[in-house]
Amino acid sequence: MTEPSPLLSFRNVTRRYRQQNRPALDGVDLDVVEGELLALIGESGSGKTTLLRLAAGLEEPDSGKIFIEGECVAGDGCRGRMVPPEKRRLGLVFQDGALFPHLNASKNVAYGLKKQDRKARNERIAHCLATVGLSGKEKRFPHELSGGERQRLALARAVAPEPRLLLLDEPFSHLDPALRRKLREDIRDILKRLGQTALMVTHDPEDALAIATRVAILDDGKVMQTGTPSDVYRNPVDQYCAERFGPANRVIDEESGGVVWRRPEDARWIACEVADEGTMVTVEDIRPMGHIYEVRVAPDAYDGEKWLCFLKEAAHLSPGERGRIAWRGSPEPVSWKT
Amino acid sequence: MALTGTAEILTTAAGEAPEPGLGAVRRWRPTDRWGVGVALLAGVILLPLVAVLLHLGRESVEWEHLARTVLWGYLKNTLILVVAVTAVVLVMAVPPAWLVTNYNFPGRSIFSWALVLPLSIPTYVAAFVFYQGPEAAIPFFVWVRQNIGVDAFIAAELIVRYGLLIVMMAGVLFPYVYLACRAAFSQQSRTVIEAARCLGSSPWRVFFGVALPMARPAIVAGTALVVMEVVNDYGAVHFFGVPTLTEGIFRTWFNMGDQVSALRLAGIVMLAIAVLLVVEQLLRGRARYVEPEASGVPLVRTRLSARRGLLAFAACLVPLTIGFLFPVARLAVWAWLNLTSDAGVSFQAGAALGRGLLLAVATAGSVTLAAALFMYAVRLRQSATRQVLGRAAGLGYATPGAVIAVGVLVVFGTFDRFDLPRLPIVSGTLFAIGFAYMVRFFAIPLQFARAGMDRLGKPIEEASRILGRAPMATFLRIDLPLLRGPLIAAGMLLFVDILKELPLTLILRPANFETLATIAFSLASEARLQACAVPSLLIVIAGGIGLIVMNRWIAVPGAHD
Repeated sequence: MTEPSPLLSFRNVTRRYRQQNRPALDGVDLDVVEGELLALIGESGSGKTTLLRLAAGLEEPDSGKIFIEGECVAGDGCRGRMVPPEKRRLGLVFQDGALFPHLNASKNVAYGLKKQDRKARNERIAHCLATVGLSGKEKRFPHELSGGERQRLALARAVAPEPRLLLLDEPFSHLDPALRRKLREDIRDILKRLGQTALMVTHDPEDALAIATRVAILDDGKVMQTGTPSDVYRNPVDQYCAERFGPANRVIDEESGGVVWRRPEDARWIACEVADEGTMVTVEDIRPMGHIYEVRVAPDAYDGEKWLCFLKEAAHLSPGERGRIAWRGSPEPVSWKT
Repeated sequence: MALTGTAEILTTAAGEAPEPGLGAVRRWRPTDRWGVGVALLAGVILLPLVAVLLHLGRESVEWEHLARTVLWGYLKNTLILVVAVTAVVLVMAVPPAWLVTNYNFPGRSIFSWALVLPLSIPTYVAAFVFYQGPEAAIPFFVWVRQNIGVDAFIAAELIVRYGLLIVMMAGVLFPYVYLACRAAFSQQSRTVIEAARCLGSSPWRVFFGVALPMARPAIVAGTALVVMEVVNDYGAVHFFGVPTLTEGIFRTWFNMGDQVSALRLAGIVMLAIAVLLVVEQLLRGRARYVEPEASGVPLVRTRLSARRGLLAFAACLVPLTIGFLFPVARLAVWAWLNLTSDAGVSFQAGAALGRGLLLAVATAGSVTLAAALFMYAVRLRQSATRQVLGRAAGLGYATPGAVIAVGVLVVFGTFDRFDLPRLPIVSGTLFAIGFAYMVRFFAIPLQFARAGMDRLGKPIEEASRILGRAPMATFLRIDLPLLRGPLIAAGMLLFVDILKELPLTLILRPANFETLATIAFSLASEARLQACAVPSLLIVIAGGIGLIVMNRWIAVPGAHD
């Protein structure tokens, strides 16, 4: 398979806001390739929403270039002429949907469809609403739909004009956890079925790991790491990247002497003190959490640092007990992409 | 937030930072049609104001004389009126606003909207309704003169005349502060008020310690409007013989023919208003008074006991009576007497009503649309210049009608000099007067549009753009339908204001063109009070209907989410 050409490219893009002394985006390079679902993850204020807005044309970069399908749409390369959002042929799903309150469901979807004959247009609307499971609710107004339905309508509206790239801005953040999980699965299936390239901004690691084919981690306006979900989960490059996806333990690799980050569930308890693998630790605290035990241990050679381990069998452990912790290696990356 | 339009009061209780516009563009581009449009419209609107200011430095022989003799009197009268009317307005407006939002008492739901109605009565109409007050006091004056002395008589006459003028002006102007306070009180977070109650504060302490300080920006903004109206007034001060700066402008230009001095007076008025606006801005300070998120706790009104309910009823009834019920009753009686005796005036008034309504509706409609589009363009891009122009275009509201009229005369006089035949842009035409109304009242729809667009939020706008609609299409398909409520309210308020407008209309109207306001004023000047009741009552009825419609639409802001 040959390397696909990037659909959206950021080249050394910087964007600063007047009120802040640090740039919101600082020399960002990023590509979104055809067919992938790239999740941008980072804390609030890390610049992820700015990046999305720059891609959409809602803001303009201070320096650097942005390309869509090889055409420069903003920045130094296009002689000061930014391609406005309405000419970019992108779709955007907003955090709160941003549905038009005065238009019903089918008119919301129809809004982005232009110059088609009535029949084709109606077919397209019906098809899009069916795709997101809103058939039969064409005449409902946004305020007559539930939170999940509104967000699905927003998705239908965004994909109806067949955008080159779909942008999603924290599309699940306003939903409660159960609905969130369901909608996440739905959207993943829909995007996969449509073969839609998408760029999603989120601060929720579960969103990113569950539906993205690739993840980019943003901190302080810089891209810190990109990779497949399992890759960024198992092999974070630094503490910030590690902590995006839950607790991680700093471990010094015995062979290279460098720092690696290990997940609590990868810990293995070795009761024998003299085994030839693992690090000597003292158990500090044990909490049964139902399916696992949360065990806090103090490794000997780490000067007061603590490790957090999730162990399946720890009923027999007690504070003060000595033993060894070893770490399972990272498994092969997995991906649902075909 | 330098300019406080009525609309700001009605729509928002406190100033908020403008949101950054769509797509931040720092470089100006010749292809940016929206930017050019903003600059052009703002420039045209500011032209008359600039024309007045430019005359401040011109030489004038008579000015010396004017400054030595009457200027101080003008200033003193203006100042006395401003301070005293403001004080009375606060007493009339704030308690009813607090009562109708927080308590249940007989007549509450009617007072809630009826207290807006005095706005439909122009100050000059109220003036000739109350005009006979000093006359009625003549026996008292005679008694004072015979028993106390000439000095006491002069003092008593002054006090009665000024006092009546002040109470009467406050009676028709207090709804500006009432509306502002009502909006502020009903937006105040329930939880803050309830927290104060739970901490053991009495209702009185909650009002003076929490609610009133929180409503301060709204009160100040409403008061600023009252001050502008007082300064703007020509008719009322004319009848009561209390010459203010505005009256001075009329006298200097039209009686003495001294244009330069009149323009200087106008300049002084503008500077004074500018000082007022700066003070208002400073008073606001940095404090935030309104909770960013209104809590969802529904408003529960306390039921008042029979005795307290009666007091509340009186607190609402007294200002309503002074500002609306009494004048309207008086006008109705006069109008009836006139209809049965002299039908000529009624025919004249009927014709003027048609013309006036047409002019007011056409102007209000087109100015509201223009303002909505202008505000949309201002918000389209985040640039300091556009924000400044967006504010500056509303400056006419802070400028008395007489000053604007003078500025328009200067500008159009310049056009006239080029002797362009067949051009409609000449002084003494309906176009000139419509343009002057736009300069004067542009802030009203501007502020409604601004508040409505703030409430609509940026994402809806952005969603439309990303779905492939250019700015103009977005404005027509999204903003216009969603802002229907605020824009109708703005248009109604504009309509009422234009209908009432006197000084500007007097100066700029084409020959033989009479509006209800000018007919009423000239009849009143001839002391034909019964006759002038007919056009006055028509203004009040048309204005009252407009205000009731406006009140309905204020309650239903922008998006129905």
